[in-house]
Amino acid sequence: MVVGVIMHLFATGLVVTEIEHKCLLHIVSDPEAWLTAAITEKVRLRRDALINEWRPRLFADPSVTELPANSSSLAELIMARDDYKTRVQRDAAEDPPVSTGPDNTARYAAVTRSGTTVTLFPSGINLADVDADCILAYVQDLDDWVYGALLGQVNRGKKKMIAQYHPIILADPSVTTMPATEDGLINMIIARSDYQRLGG
Amino acid sequence: MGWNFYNASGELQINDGGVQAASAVFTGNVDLGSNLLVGNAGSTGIAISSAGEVTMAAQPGFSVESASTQTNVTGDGTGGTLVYGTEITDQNADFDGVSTFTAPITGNYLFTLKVAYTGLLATHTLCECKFVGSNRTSNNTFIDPGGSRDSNNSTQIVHTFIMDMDADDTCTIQVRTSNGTKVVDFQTGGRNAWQGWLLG
Repeated sequence: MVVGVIMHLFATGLVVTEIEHKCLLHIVSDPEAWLTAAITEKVRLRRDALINEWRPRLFADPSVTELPANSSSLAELIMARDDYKTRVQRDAAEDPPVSTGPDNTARYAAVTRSGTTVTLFPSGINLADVDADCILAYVQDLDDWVYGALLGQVNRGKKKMIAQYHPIILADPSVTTMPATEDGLINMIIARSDYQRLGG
Repeated sequence: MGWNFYNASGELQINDGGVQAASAVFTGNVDLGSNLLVGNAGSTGIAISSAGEVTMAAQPGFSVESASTQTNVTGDGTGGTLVYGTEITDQNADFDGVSTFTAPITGNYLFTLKVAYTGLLATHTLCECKFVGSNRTSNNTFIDPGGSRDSNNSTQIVHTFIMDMDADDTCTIQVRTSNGTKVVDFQTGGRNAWQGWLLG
């Protein structure tokens, strides 16, 4: 359960196609649990990076007389400083300003998601403000990062599924023709009696 | 009950008092007459052959090339994302087949890049080529590509960067050429190539 001030992401959920969902399920048993864990780990890594980056500066600052002894409060102290800037603020201050980062949002939007779809996190994703801020210390756009993580895992599941089962289909004498589309091949693989997602 | 070293299938398994040991420590060398296989039932992971050759078949790493000439991408100060439609290798299914690498695990990734510009004008006096990652952007600036272009109005530049990436971070390649018109193309094939490898 997320406590404190909360950032609410993807209020209406994250919609994936049926095929994308099958690709996710090939590689993770519970896509929502996987993505939740991925965000939690990203928070931890960026909070640790923030603290490691700022520790020498805090130690060298004579105006700092004591520091919180837990990482969340320490991160909050760092991010409340006048000389702290988020990634977006740092990029804007560059000359010339750093342009936008990976455009995962556009990659997500480029796929038409009509017909049969699956909505992950239909009530959205809650993230404590301090946790979101730790990510935003390094990442330009939190939603964009989540889209990138999701699309990366969909792609990984798809490619691993096809790499595993395409040779099996080619060697199967009972199969005479194969669909000529990626989606068709994935549906054919899932329908096989010997199909198993990774990990069984 | 004492130690035994084989399971019912004849495979090496160290048991202490009938309980499988969680770990094993050797104070001297382990000398194997054949391959050492670690991970995924020995089919992938780390393999050390009897000749001492180490291979890591699932180690995240990719090598991609441009599958077609990308025309009028930049030249007037606007930027574009390079597309790589030919996959030479993608060992862990982490490249999306278009433009984006998604890190499967937190670590340092070595990226090498060849960028082949063509259609350069004399007025194109500045170009930037960036590794655009979730946590940071590495900007490589090349002064006066228009002045150093060959008789075909082309030039090629090589970049490298070690990028710290968290699991599920993404990276793309963005280019921007300035001070002319938007007529700069990027050549097809191995002259436009991107490779990445997990260092550790």
